[in-house]
Amino acid sequence: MAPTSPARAEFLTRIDTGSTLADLPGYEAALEMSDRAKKAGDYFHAHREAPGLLLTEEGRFRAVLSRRYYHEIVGQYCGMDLYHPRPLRFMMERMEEHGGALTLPGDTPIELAVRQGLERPRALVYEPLAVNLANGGAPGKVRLIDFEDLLAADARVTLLRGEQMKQILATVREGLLLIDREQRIGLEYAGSAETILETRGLAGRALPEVLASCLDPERTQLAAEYLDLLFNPRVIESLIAKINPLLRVTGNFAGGRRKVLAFRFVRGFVGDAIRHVLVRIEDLTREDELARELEGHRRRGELHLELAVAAMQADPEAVVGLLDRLARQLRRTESILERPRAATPPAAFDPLLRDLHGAKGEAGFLGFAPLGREIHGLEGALAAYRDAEPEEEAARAEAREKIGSVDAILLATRSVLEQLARFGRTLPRESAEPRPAIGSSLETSIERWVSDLAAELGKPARFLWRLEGVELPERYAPLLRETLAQLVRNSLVHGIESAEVRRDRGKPAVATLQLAARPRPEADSIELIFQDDGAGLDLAALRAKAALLDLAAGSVMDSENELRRLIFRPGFSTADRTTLHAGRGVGLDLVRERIEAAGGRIAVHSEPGRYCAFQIRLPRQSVESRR
Amino acid sequence: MKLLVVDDSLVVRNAIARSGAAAQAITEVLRAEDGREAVELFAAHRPELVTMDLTMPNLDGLAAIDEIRSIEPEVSILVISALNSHRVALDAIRRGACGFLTKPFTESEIVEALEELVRHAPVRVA
Repeated sequence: MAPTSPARAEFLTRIDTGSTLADLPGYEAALEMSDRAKKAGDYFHAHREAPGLLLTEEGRFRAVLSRRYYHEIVGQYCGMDLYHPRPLRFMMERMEEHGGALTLPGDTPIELAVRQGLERPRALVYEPLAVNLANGGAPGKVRLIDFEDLLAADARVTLLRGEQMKQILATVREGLLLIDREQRIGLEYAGSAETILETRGLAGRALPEVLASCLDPERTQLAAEYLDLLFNPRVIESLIAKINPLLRVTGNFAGGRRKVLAFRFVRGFVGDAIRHVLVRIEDLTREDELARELEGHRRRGELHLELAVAAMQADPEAVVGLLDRLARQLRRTESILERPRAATPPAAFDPLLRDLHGAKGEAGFLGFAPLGREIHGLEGALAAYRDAEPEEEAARAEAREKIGSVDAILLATRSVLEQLARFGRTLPRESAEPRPAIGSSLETSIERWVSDLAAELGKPARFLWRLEGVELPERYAPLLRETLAQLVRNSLVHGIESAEVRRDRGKPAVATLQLAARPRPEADSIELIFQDDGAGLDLAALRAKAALLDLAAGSVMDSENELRRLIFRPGFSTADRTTLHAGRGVGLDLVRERIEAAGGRIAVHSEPGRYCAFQIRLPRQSVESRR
Repeated sequence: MKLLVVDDSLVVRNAIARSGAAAQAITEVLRAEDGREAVELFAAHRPELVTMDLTMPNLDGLAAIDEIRSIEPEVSILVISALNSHRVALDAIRRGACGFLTKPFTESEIVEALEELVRHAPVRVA
């Protein structure tokens, strides 16, 4: 019956966030209901710290007599005289009006016990609790707990929880914060929220106001409206997550830096009401960069494969020659870009644009489509720079970027060629055959160029090679590659009709392009005829375009021959818009320029609806006949 | 529970109706191909659940939501539409839809969304 006298300060050091009632100091002192009430008075007098007494009947726990209740009863007029000589049962019978003692199992968490204790009637709030350690009310297993001890323990648990929460909030990588119905940020939030949003002191500020500093006004407004919906209990949270306008947003921060941010929201219910929304902010910038990098690697891998396939099929010397020429063109372009725009007259761009155009054609001809695409981009950027005023800086930057793109592919192509050279070019075309002569190398290239371009333009076409034993010399290879690249392109883009039109005109669906050659010993020259079975020259379109360009001198408009010759003029194109394959007005003028530079001539013949033929004559000295 | 599927595309209507019929709690599926028909069917049959397209002839989805909620404010409406703008989506929710499913959707997405809708649907005393 000796009471435990706990050292109250000491027990608090053992309390942690998982503590239960069993961890609190317990008072085991008990009296039988049949004992006289005076014994209780003696006990309370001797044990100033005891909050109450357990009352038993035949050793079984029946009730709690709190110190406060005892004093209330005996404090009444003549109370001590009335109650002290009588059994405790007599005193306890008057307790019914106060209700019985709160008895809880020993494994009740501290916070839950406090909540239950505080839910008692106001007069009983600070009464001691009975803790049943055996869940059965067996003697000796029930203890009294001082409610003040419980409150002290609860304060400790709250403090520890606060510290733990602060620890978590200080270390968590996500920016966690709570917002209330007014969208104001709560007092406690993760430090990383400040880091991610790059702003200090979030507590009490409205989230949209914070967002306004890094997001555009419209996005901020959408976010505010979305947050508003989250507080509407009718809305099903999981079913609106997809329209979260902050699911993935780009924020702008000091110094022009951009961050990819993701905001997720979780509603916090108290009963049926939404008390707050937990906001989780993630900085996905690095992940985003990695994803881009990965995509870049994948694209580069595909590019290398494409280049390798082209390199294996092309004549390596032709490719190296193209790359060298292209590299020189890029340096020429760079030196133009280094000067102020006004220092270069517009006409000075033309030779460079023509050379780039030639290189583009050759790249396509040799099967290096990616290179052709990038050169095409550079052509456009350079032409834009030529026409750019007064905003030449942007155009210059754009042109420089395109030079970089061409350079990158140029380097990639060189590295692919080097790798192939290292492996001895042992792949497909190589067999026991001797190295093919320039003629058959051209034949391979032109066939592939026709089929690639035909597929791309959706115009089925075949190519016939009719050199009739004429061997073309090595030194003319670059000229012929460049020329044929342009002629094939010109023919497929402008000449050959779509399959439907061909069917309507009673022509075979598959178009035919052919190159025929014959030596002309008597004229000291060789003749090449490039012919297609397309629509022929559109004289009406030529006339219209000529009128538009103010070339309407009478002789030009009247003579079909003169009209036909227009197609060799620089800057002349009947295409309405520029595509990868047409519209720059560079092409046939390039062909003429190259052929004339080699001492040759070119003429065009055409019959509307039936064919178009280019007749090329080259000086004999440069062409040898084996027969 | 009864489900009213509103969409002007027969294919989409059938896909949603099929998923709806598979859900245990849904005992009857009604179909409407525009907002006008949706309001009429709703008034006649009082379904607890509605899936609503937004862009439709005669009466568009937003207007149909208004009319249906004026008949029965507690109805659970799920908007199923291509997310062309956040503005329209937020408008639809503000007018009383409970959720938004974006087109195109997979079968499992629609089944899950309908189950969510069933779970949150207010119990109606007959």
